[in-house]
Amino acid sequence: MALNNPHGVTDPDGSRPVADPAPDPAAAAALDRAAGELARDTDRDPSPGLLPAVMHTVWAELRPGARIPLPGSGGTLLVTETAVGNALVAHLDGLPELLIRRCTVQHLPATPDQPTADRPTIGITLTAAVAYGSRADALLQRVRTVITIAADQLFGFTVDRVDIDIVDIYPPVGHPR
Amino acid sequence: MVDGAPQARGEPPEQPDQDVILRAHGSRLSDLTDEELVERAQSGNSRAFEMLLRRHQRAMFGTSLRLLSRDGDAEDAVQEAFIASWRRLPEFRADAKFSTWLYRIVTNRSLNELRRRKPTQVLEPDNHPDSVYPIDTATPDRLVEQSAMMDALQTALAALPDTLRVCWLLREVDHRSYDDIAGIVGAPEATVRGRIARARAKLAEAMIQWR
Repeated sequence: MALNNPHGVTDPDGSRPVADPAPDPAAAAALDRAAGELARDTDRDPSPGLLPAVMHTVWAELRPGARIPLPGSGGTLLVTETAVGNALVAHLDGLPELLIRRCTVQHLPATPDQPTADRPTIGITLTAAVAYGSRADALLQRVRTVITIAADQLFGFTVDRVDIDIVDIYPPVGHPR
Repeated sequence: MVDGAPQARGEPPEQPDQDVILRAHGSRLSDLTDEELVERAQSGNSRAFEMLLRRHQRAMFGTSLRLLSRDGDAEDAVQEAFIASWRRLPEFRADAKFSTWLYRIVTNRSLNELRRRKPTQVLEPDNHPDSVYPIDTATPDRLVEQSAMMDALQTALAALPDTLRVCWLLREVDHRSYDDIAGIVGAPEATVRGRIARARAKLAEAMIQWR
């Protein structure tokens, strides 16, 4: 006997199909029509104010990390480690064959041999994915270069070290990911 | 050539190449997968989190609206759910799908709101300017019939237990996979299939006059 079992309902151990209560076919069709209407009627964006309201709270609750004084400000202008990391990632996003996943910035304590006492030194830890077939050594060197320049030009910081973990390889542009 | 997962630790940076920075501007945030955006958001990138919300807000609002029937209530529930998702983001594990996780939060918030409404009321569309039923330009007869049919569906939906209603809506209106729904409601897939079948049988019974 054929079972009316469109959803593949099984018994509790999942081994045998179980017949659904058989709805009247015409009523089932009416239900499908109503479901379609409901889907159409409710397929719309929320008001434009929703996202800004959420982001207002998000920004207020950001976990920003330590604050780093900007050079020449006498300690009156500060930037958070998270903000520095986000800015650096925005620059690295311009590099082909590379996808930054995480970026952590750490303000390192000043050392006696630091060339300029007023220039904060930072350490950076990145996790990234690179395109299959790219030359990792050249790419990583380029990452260090971009970070060093960006940290200097944007904030006046010295980059002491850049640790990079490559955690994934992805197909190059034009191939399905 | 990259053919594995090399690591490079602690090497000193080379001397800056001034033209690199000029070519390094730009953002591909919208091209990133959910998984990649989640990782960035977990490390404190609020723009990545905003992109995730932008990507899923329509689906989440629709889901909440189908449960709550009013735009204002659905927006409140989605807003609360999005904020909760930000607060719980550090707990999110990469082995789950972000959309499934977000659906679960939105669904739970919407159900909480629904339970808060006492006594349970079926909303009359004509009394609520922000109800799910938009003003249509179809013929008056068609409008009346459509409105009545949707009233019947809403009444029947409201009479279902939450567990059946949510599974049926996610499957038949949201078109989520059984596997996704199982993840959203936290029940085995076989249970989800059973709930949908039972919901369908009850709803079809209520729709008999609309054959």
